[in-house]
Amino acid sequence: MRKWIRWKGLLAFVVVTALLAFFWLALADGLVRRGIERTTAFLVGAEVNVDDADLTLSPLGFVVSRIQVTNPDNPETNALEIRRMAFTLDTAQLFMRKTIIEDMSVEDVALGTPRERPGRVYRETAEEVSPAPGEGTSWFQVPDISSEDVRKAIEEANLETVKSAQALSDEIENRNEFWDQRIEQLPDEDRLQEYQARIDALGQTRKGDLGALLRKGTEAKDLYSDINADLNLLRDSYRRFSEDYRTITAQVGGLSELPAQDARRIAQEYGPSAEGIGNISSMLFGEQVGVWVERSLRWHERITPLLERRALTAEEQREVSPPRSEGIDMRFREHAPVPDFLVRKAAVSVLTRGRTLTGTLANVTPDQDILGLPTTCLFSGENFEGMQGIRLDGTFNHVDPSDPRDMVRLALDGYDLRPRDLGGEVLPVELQQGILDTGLTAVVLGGSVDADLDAAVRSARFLVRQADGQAAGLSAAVEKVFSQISGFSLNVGVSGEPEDYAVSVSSNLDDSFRDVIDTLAKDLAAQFRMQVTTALEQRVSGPINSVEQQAGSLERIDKELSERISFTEGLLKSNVFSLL
Amino acid sequence: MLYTLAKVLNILNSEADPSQISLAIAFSLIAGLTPLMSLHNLVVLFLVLVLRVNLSAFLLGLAIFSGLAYLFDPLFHAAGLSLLSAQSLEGLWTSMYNMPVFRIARFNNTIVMGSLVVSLILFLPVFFLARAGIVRYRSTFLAWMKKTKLAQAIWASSFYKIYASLPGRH
Repeated sequence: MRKWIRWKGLLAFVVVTALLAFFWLALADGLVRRGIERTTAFLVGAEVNVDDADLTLSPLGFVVSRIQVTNPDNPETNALEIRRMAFTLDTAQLFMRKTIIEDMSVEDVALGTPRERPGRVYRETAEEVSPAPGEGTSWFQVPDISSEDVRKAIEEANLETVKSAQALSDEIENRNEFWDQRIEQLPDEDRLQEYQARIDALGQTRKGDLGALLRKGTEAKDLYSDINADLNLLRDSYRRFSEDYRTITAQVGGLSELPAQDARRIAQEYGPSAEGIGNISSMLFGEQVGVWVERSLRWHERITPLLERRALTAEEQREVSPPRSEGIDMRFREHAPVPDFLVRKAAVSVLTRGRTLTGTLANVTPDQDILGLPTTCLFSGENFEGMQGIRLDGTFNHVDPSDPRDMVRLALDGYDLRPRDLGGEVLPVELQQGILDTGLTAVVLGGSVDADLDAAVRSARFLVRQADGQAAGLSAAVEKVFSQISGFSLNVGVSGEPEDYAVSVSSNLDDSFRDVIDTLAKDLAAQFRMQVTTALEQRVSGPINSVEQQAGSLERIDKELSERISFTEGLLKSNVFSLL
Repeated sequence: MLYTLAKVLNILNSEADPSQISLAIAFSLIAGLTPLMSLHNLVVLFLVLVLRVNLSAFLLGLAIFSGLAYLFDPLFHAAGLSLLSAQSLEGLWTSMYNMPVFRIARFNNTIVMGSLVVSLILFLPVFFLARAGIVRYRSTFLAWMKKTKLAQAIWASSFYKIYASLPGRH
């Protein structure tokens, strides 16, 4: 047996074990530092730097110095920087591979600090989401008379007018031809002269000849009948002609009105109107609100792994291929369940606007279902530089992972707004100053977002800039409205799923603008209609004049028929009756 | 490569007991196939140091089996997963899961469990096969080799100089 025992080996084992323990202690600082860097970077999706981590043995804990978390949206700045973080660990739970932090202090958190060098971004951030297009983005458009759309519309309208003129011209020509032919068939001058000759012949009948007198009477009666028949024919034709003539004249008159009708249609279609304008609030604040909402949702998505651990099903565990040498840690029922990671209470101080905002975080764990308590936070402070007071409280309840309920309430008092551009390129307005009082309630419930923000801005001052291509009258009107605004209210509502939500923005600015824009729209629309009418009249004056000239040719027929009727009536009244 | 081969021959041709060499290989099988920084490997280290096993053979085996372990990881994961998922063993695993020593040992990790079980199963066969192989090598092959002209030539080569320079040869 002694042959198999190497007593010196016992000593060697003690030495090796001691060396391993020593090296572990020596390397623990670095391991923890890298652990914090990796875990936080995984959550945030961007580089995290820790200057130092010191292990303390009694009680077991760590003091971590200067944690910088890169802002993935702006890698040149830190989303947050923590000057010092200290925590103690529950040693007994460490043997069960549990990280339980009873007390943690997070000191001097600063937001948006500049980095010495840009941090790496591991996950590309989603594109900034603009506010949903729709009512908020349409704005007052004053079209240029020479613009392509309007020019094309005028051409099309011109074609319609010319077509109508052409059709009328053809109609006039047809009527001309018809009445020219018809007039040939009517009793003409020769025929009337013939009647005159017959009358003259009857007048020379001898007075003493009874037979001749009787024949004269008979012939005079026949002559009367013939002239009367022709006169009726002429009158009937003249009546029909007059109807045609009236119709044509009316159509010619209508033709001259066509350009004006077309101009009205074009003006309605392309001209400025206050009807299409959405609310001014969406236009001014929609984009900014959209960016805030998107950022908030993205940060909520990032912190969700801190609130809820997604357990693999047995099927997923079989299908998953873990990285080499890592495997999967299977979980079994614990007799006294404890979260794998828990920060029971953390005192946090945030440096902002020249003062310290203090608050607490409680029950930070991805295993809320095991702990049975939600993660909560509460921050408050007063008399900041440019802000009278702030209160933020939140509850992130994932105790039932199938029914998560997250809620954040934020109240800001006397927040000094910094100058910011609003309205984008459409309505470039700068809010130069203002003091904001606001209350926000945001709830993420069962995968849907519902947020409501009520804000009041006082001591507001705006600067309106001239937008490219904007009508001068519009700029002046907008400027006048903004110059009269010293305060306004704002309500923002967000609802829907985080991937597909709707933002509604309303404000009393909408009412201030509506009347001004209505009046302005009417003035500008009238100006535009006049421009279009003038342009159209120039284009169609030729064809219309041509038709009018054609229509004038019908007067000749009118005159001819009138003369014949008049002559025939004369024959009948003065000559034939005298014979009788 | 020459160095490794020379080291293997050095161990095989040494005066060491075949059982000591084969036990070292069997221990290296456990330490090599399972994740090195595991609690059970502290026990293996203790046994390797306290028991009079051949340390050179252990270190050499550790290097070889660690390389092989990387190839067999998917197999170990599958074996560990099926063992840890077995309904009949759930009570045992649950009890162990609630004991700190087993939690530190990470028995619930699929690769730790799979590789440990596989290496424990292979422990005795590897021990006896290695021992038999060494005995047979020394009695037949080594004795025959010494008489061949090839061996005579090798003794005159640079390889033999490396081999001869290794510690523990004489």
